[in-house]
Amino acid sequence: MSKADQPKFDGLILSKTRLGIISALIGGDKLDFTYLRNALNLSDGNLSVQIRKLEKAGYIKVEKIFIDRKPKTFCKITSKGQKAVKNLISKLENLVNTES
Amino acid sequence: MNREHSQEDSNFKHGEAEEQKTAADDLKFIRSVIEKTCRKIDPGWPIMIIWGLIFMIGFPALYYLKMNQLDQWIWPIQWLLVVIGVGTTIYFGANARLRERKAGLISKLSKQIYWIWFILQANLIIWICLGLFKDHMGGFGLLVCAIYGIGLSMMGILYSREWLYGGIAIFFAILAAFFIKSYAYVILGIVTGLACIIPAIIAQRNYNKQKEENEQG
Repeated sequence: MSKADQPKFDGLILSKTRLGIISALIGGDKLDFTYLRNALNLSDGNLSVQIRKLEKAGYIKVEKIFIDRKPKTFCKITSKGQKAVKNLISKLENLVNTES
Repeated sequence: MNREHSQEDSNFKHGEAEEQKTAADDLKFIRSVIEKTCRKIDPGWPIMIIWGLIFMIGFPALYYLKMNQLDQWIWPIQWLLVVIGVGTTIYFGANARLRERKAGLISKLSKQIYWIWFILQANLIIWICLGLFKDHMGGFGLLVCAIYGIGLSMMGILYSREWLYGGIAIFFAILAAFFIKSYAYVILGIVTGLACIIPAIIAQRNYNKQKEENEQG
């Protein structure tokens, strides 16, 4: 594979933390902030910064839902986010399967 | 010149190998996150256990009433069984969804399964309210079992395999009931009951196991 043939990756989701968040949401479930924080072993500050970046890019949607009168922040992947992560996975798979 | 060229080529190949390794690591990471965050939905087993008991006790009871010419009791008892079943579904279903939400998960699959059962059971209630099968005990029983056969098969396709086996068993029971008419309701009641209870126990056991694994890992 020549340099020119190498796939271009989406830098936004190539970061390990953001890739973790978006991979957790890929199934279409809505996951809340605490659930994501515990599952990915992230700090509150780091998680909220990364969530904001993904939301700004339109990859995830953030909504507040009241459960037992307490607000919870839930994140959900958008169709743009789904496309981006599927695209990334197929590019990574191509790269892994390419014989050097 | 040639040596420079081959040095550059070897550097590029080395870089490519590094990239392949990174890509493989990234894929591994994506898979591990999906596995870690993929929680099986709460199967809400009390719902299926109660429906199973309704079938196993209710259907032979209806058969007994029919055999003893107590037909005037058949329709009210059918009503009572469906009300108990639907009431249980609503109560335990809502509880299971609340538990999931409190744990920070609003599952897409759980929503799909909820809608399947909502539509099927709404149909059941409408048929009963309209008294469509009031005078045809046979038709009503077969339809309830067919509804459960469809519901369990769809759950098997969407959620986990054991429900599908339950659905298939019900379809075979319907066929058997068609040929062995005199014992139709005993066969349907027992098979449909077991088709609800056994997968519910297996699904709940798998769910608890997965939950434990997620908590440990």
